[in-house]
Amino acid sequence: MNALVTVTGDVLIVVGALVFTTAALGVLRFPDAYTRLSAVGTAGGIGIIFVVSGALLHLPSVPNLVKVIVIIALQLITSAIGSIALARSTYLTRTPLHRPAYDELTSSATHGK
Amino acid sequence: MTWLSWPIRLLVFTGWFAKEIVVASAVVLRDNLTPGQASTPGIAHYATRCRTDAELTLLAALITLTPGTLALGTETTPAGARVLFVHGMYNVDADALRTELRDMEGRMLHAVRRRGGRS
Repeated sequence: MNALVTVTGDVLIVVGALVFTTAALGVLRFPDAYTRLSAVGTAGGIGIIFVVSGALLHLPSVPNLVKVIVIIALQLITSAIGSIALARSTYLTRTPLHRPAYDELTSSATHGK
Repeated sequence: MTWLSWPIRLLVFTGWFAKEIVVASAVVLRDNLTPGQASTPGIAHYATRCRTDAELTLLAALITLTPGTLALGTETTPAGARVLFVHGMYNVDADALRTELRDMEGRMLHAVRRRGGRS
């Protein structure tokens, strides 16, 4: 039972690290501001949640559970909203998209809808 | 009955969303580890079925948290429908992205509303 909890914690931490790796590679390799923001937005919210949940399973106690719940709540509220605000200001400063396959925001904005 | 099934629906949705994160991470990771860019980025106009701003905020946050998609902005149509503009990377066209969003939105609404329901 104890080993199972530890292994689950390891898996969660590795998944969190995988999310961070994805984001770091994304920032390096993606072509424009929007795609890079997309990569960072994911890691800030989800990566942290996986890592702290895994750490909790390694050191289970009530104070740690409270800390993890507070961390997850604050991360979910701030990280995603921050990314959306950054993405919105990126668009409002007319940062161009890299070879968009479709763009319904520009067409919607120019038609004044 | 809705009070009993509400936490279960929330847990089921949390598990489904965790699975989606892993799947979408794998897609992004594969694109980044192989030479070149396989992404087809674009911005789609998505009319949501959210009834309150809280539901819309949660949906936008979940979209942003999913690797490969990013919520850019929102507007309310004169008819009262809440619209999201979503930047997607791995969908061939806007309709494919909308289909994916509709699935996630339906699951989310069914989970967060006490009485359930997807419309």
